[in-house]
Amino acid sequence: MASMRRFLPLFFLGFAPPLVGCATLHRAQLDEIDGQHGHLVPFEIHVSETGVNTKAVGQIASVAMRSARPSQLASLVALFQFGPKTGNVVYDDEFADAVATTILERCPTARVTGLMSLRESTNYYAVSGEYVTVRGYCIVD
Amino acid sequence: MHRASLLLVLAAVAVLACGCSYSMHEYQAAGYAPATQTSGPPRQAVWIHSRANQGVILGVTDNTDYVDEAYQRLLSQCSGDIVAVNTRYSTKLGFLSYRNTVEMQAFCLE
Amino acid sequence: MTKPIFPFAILSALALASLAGCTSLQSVSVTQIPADRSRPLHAQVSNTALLGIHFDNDFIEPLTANLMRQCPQGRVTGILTKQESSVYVIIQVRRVVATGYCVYDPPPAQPSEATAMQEMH
Repeated sequence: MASMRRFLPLFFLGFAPPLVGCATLHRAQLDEIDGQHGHLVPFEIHVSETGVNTKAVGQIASVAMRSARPSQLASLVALFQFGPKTGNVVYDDEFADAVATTILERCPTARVTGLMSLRESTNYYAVSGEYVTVRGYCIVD
Repeated sequence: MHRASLLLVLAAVAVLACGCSYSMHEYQAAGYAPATQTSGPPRQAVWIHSRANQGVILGVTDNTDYVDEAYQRLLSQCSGDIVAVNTRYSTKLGFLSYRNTVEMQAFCLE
Repeated sequence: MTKPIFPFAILSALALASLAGCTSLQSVSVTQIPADRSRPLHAQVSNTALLGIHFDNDFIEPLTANLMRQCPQGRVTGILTKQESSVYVIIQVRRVVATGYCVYDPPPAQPSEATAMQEMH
């Protein structure tokens, strides 16, 4: 019993990473990099939206209420969220549309190169951060 | 009271989940250097935009032609170089069906 | 006693639908597009596997060479790349389709002979 208590903190430490979130890279794309026409100044644009894992919400509610009904309701809701998914479900798919104009705000001359586009998420079990990150360089004379 | 408030939260989630759930798959920003006339004075740029959808029931479909459709619609709006192509691929989720969307924004250089 | 036909009808419909397969788009990318679109290009590679078990991704390698073969000594640009996956019951087909345009850049301007004669004087 005493030895079990000694290993108990280690056991809970194993669950520490999920408390800070699990990061996932879903897509990565890299455009051409042209370093021949001037000095490259880096920039980064990061937009995000909150994602919801309906089944996880149902499971948490089921545990809290000690009833299977929330899980069943969550399964019913999942039928209304049918389709291919990358990361968790979001309630606005246009959150990344401003990236195009933001790139031009960072590089007003529109001389941009080395664009890396990333689709990432950080999962906190029931909710998640769904991110679009675009990194690149402005070409400056 | 506690159970009632939790049920209320779940009912709110159920209402929110129906009809406005999306999955954002990919966003790409690329092609800011013009394909031709790479030197010379700067050219006037105009934003162009295209979108194409595909409705799918029960996941049964045999093509991804909506992507080509969005691409051709973008091309049809500009006879010059098209640069700064920003492409978004997402899906609107529904009841045993979904709608795929590809949306492209770009600059047309005349 | 007649057998119920309603479940049979549903099963038949589902079986027919499964023959159409489930095709999904995995990834899409677009590069800058040229004004000269008189020489379109198209290349496609695919790979079929039972139960979706693939042992390598070598099927993708001929794609670039296919495009380049259609544009000898030119420049391939305006490339739309689609990565698709189709599932037919227990068979999965992975496919990458690339379309683009072949452009030939104008040769660089040569120095005129008059200039050379002026330098000699």
